[in-house]
Amino acid sequence: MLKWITLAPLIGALINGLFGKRLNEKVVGLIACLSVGVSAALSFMQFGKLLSLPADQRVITEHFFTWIQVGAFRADFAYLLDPLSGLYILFITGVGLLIHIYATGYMHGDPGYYRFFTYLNLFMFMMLTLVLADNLLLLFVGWEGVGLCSYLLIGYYIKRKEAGDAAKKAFVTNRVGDFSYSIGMFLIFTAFGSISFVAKDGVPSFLTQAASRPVEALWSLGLMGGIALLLFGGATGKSAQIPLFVWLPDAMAGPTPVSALIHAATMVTAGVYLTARCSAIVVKSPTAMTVIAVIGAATAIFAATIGLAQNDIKKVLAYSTVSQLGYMFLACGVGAFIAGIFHVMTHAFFKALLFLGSGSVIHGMHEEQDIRKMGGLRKYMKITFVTMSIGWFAIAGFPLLSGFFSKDEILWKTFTAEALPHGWGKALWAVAFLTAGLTAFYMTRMMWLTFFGEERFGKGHDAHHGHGGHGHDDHHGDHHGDKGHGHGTPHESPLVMTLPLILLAVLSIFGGFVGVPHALGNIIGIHENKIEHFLQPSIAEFHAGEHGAAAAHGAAAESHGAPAVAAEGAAKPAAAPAEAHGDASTELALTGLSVLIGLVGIGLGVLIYSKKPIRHMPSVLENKYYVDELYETTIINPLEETSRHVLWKFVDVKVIDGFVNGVARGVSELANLLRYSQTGLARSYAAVILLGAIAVIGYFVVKIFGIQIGI
Amino acid sequence: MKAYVPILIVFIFVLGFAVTNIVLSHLVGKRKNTRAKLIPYECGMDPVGSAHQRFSVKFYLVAMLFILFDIEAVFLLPWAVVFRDLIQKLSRPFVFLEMMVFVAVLLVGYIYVWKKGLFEWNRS
Amino acid sequence: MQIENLNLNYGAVAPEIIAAVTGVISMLVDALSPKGARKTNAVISLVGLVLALLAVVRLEPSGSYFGGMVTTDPVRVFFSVIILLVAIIAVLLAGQFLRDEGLPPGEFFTLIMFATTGMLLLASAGDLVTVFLGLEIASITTYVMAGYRRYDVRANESSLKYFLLGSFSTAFMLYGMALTYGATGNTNIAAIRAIIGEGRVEHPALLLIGAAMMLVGFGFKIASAPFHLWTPDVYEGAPTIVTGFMGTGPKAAVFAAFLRVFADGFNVTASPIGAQLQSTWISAVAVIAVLTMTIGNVIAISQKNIKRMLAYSSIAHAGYALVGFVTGDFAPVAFYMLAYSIMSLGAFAVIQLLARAGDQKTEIADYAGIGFETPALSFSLAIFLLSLGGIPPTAGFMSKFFVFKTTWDAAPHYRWLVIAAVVNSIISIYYYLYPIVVMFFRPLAPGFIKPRIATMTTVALILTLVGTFYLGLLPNRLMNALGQGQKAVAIQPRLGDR
Repeated sequence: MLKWITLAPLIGALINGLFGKRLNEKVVGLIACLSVGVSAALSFMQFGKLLSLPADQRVITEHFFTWIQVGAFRADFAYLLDPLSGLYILFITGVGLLIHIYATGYMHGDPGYYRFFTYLNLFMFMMLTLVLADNLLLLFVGWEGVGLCSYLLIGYYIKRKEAGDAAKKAFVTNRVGDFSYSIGMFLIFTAFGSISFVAKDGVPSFLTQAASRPVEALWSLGLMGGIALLLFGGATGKSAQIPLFVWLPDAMAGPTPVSALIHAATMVTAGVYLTARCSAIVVKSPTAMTVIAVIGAATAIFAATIGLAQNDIKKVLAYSTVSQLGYMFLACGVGAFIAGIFHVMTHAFFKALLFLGSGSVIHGMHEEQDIRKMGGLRKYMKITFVTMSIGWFAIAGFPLLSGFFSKDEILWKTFTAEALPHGWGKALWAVAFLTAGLTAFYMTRMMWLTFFGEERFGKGHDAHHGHGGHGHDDHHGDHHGDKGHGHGTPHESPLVMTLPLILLAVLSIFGGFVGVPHALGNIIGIHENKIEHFLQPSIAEFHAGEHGAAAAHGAAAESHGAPAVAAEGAAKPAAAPAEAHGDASTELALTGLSVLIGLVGIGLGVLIYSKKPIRHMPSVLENKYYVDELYETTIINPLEETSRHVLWKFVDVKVIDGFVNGVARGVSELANLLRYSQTGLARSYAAVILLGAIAVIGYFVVKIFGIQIGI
Repeated sequence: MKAYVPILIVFIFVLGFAVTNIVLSHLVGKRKNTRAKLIPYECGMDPVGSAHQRFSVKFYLVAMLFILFDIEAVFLLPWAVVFRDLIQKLSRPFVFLEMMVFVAVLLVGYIYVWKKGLFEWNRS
Repeated sequence: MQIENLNLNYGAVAPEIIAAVTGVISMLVDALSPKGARKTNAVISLVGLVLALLAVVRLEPSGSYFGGMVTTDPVRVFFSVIILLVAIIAVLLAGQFLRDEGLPPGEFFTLIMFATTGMLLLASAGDLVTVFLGLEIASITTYVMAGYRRYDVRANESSLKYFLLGSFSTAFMLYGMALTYGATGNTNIAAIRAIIGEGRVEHPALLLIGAAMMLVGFGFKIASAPFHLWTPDVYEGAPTIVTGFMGTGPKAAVFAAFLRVFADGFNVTASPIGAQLQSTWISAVAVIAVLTMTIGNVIAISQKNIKRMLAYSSIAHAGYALVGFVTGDFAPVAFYMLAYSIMSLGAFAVIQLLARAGDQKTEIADYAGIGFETPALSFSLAIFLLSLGGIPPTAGFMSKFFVFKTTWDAAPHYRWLVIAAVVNSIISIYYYLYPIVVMFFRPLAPGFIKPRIATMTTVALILTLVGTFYLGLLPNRLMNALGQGQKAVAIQPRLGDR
């Protein structure tokens, strides 16, 4: 059954790819949605089956065929469904289905309609293969596959140069990470003789073997630390962390549903998946954990500050995604993998919602993406406004919405981190705490400029053609007039687009209740952190002093065919409540603080943006001026300047982009130089052959002296 | 060294034959020197003028065919000489058929060039 | 060699005989039919090749025949299969090529068959003389094939350059063989091996210089740096299908002979001279391998013409295959050449179709936007290019993996070579992706006409596609077979055992 979860979208992609050109739009859309629908239905069924199993045996495997077997090396084409991959396929297929439905409306009238859905279905296949793979190599296939689809979809608007450039940038940046991943994988095989997540041929999985290794000392880089960092290197590429995050904001050149599905909800979280999947290795190296946590926190605050200064609605969301991914890695780094995965899930809901909402706004505004040219849209687009507001509150950490629970859990786990050097946990908590405030603030800014205040579009302007200031407006078919609106008047999107928004909004509200933290749960009457309980068998925990005991547990678990770390997880529940009781009051206090900073961020945003932009907007619009006058408030000005000039324009554009481009240019210069060796003259070729021959013979002659002298 | 004495005899004989003939014709023959007779003979080509002129590829094709059949003769002769010795050691049909295969291959080549019109000198 | 126990066995050379006879028959059929016999000869050649393939399968697993001139071992069987597959695909593609170009139809098949004969002989050579014979038969026919479009200046240039430089390198080869003979008093590879193993080499210096010269000769034929310069010019100028053919079949065949002479004949460590020779040639091959793949990949990046780009890519791939040599084991090289032959032929087949008569459209810019105009062709090309780039789940990935992994395990001293190869394959992704980007992300180039695809061409494309995925997804059976063959071959000691 597992294979049909992945194969259904592949079949959809094949049908649309081969015959799509001849089919009409409705049929193409139907095939695409149906194939993902089948996949989603099967995922829910399989997930139900998984839940019906006893907690410590929740593993379903399916062997397709043995892919490669060379000596001791074995990689199967086999799928593994355990709580971790189960949760992933649920939200991948679920959110994926909603976005597919949305896209049938959004892409309506586009000449490449079938091509779009072919890629999108192919992406679903690859993503599901990635999370269901039972070994690192098959995971890598999916990993590369989603990269390819992402590349194809970023460059979807083939006529536009910046789309092509962005696609290339994404691909090249990701290759850097992939290189790290593959070295990590080889290292794992060299060290453990297995790359599988489950036992094969009597060889225990590398995760089990890793579980029995001792924890490495802090600040030393042993084998486990090396592997963990190499895998994390791969994750930085895919999940857009420092220093490989540069491609993600540019990736917004793709169609908005793609940004929602691939560049917010699913693919970019593959790095978190990998880190959580290999948690057994990560927890053995406090060094690696510290690095991961620091990079995660740094990315979170770095991207959040850049987000403050962006005017393109999708760019704001893109930097916000980078920032939220940073949170997830921070969680992984402090050993709170479950909290990280939980945040992946809630983020998938509210970020997909926000992106789709922004798509709806862009659609309604006739391809306008600049929030300075919006304003007051809440009157025109009621559903979009309401649903996006839910996303806004969720990401800002408004109490009891999904983002609140997951973010709070991460903050708490960071505060109490054991793996990090003394005091670092508190410092990182402060960074993350500040980021939470910034997040609330820039999201408020985006929402306010979009939906509130004065209407800054229309009047004497044609919203579609008037503004050449940026080149990221979504390309679209010429069907704007079909709803009877003239240019310049925003309109609400059709039902196929608003329905997914509504469903995602519901998920963004209630999605968090599967993971209510203990301290808080006791107050609101939910006593079990369901997600933590559910995911425990798949995740390893950090234990500073543990040694041999886990090995014995691990071996016992292997005999049941359970994934590697099950035993450790099973030992955990006993310890968890005790810890929860001890610091309940601190936890509650921190929760209060994070609610407070969220509210402060929102409040400050409202305060600032409800006053200034309205007065200054018209002149800004006419002069196509930059935001300098807009942001007079002294609190923001220094921050923003730093963000734009130092972080974004210098670090991002100059240093990081410059490095990537420089390497590429260097190689092609070398190529040009070498090309001159190809003169086209047969006699010079003969001369080179002769020189080569002399070199080879000379080398052999030198060796002859070796014989006569040496032996 | 003794084994090479017959070769030396053949060598002397050949040299003597050639020299004798040239000397004889020089002494006996009538000579009437014309311009055409005095220019060096060069297989039908004009020997005077630029060396960079093109001449027909047909010459080469014929020359190659000639060499092929020449090689056949060179190969057949020693085979005939050692035939009696060889059939003592290897089976008779083997020794015979091997050479016939070679001849047949050449024959096929001959038919091929014939049918392809190589011998029609005036074909465009 | 005693004349009484030559061990004459016509069954042992049945594949070669069948190929030669088929060539002769097709030649006669062509000569005797007035209008030329394109279809008849294609069918005759296919039948002949399939029969030869059956004969290969039915060979005795090992043996030495005709006084050691011909030898049967897993290397021969495996490479013969590669050669015959290449020939079959070339024949399938030739029909449409000859018709579209309006070229004399019959002789092309004859040339393919004779080239196949030569290649098969190379793969089965147990003696330096047979190596030379096979090499020359295969080379001379490919010289002619390169210039088959004889009114095309580029094809003429290609043919002539190939001929001149090929002869030049043959001289090295022959001289090397002569010196080896002088040093060991033998031309039989097994005998040379035995003599080196017992340390009975009279002139060690001669042997080493002989080996060096043969290395140059083989190096030229497989287009390894610095003997690769002819490749781009020849590959670009020759008709595309010929380029595909000579980049795969003859190359594989030369690899077979190269393996037998070096990885077998010169791979003895029992005597000091043997050990010296072995370490010398392996280190030389390692350096050549790195040079070859680096030069091939780096120059390929700046190419604008797709045939030229693939020519450099072909150079780089020879470098990867050479990596497998340092293990002294034939299995990874054999697998690599099979995978490479299939995907490379597939790529050239598509390029042939897109180029139109006379190779007009071979600039990468000509491919702009055709992605969704001829989806079957462009997706096939994309798959072949990705496979050449080594992206899973294709043959290219698996073959690279196999070579790199075997080398990593078996030759700990040469792990730097594997690292260099991995870095190189990452560089190569760039230029393999470029045509794909052009095909799918650029506006359609003007003057594009959708090519017609003949049935035989379709069959060839499907074969290569299936092969690319089969080797990528289910390489196990083949690898196991190779693994068993590897035990049967008496290549001892393996480098890793030292």
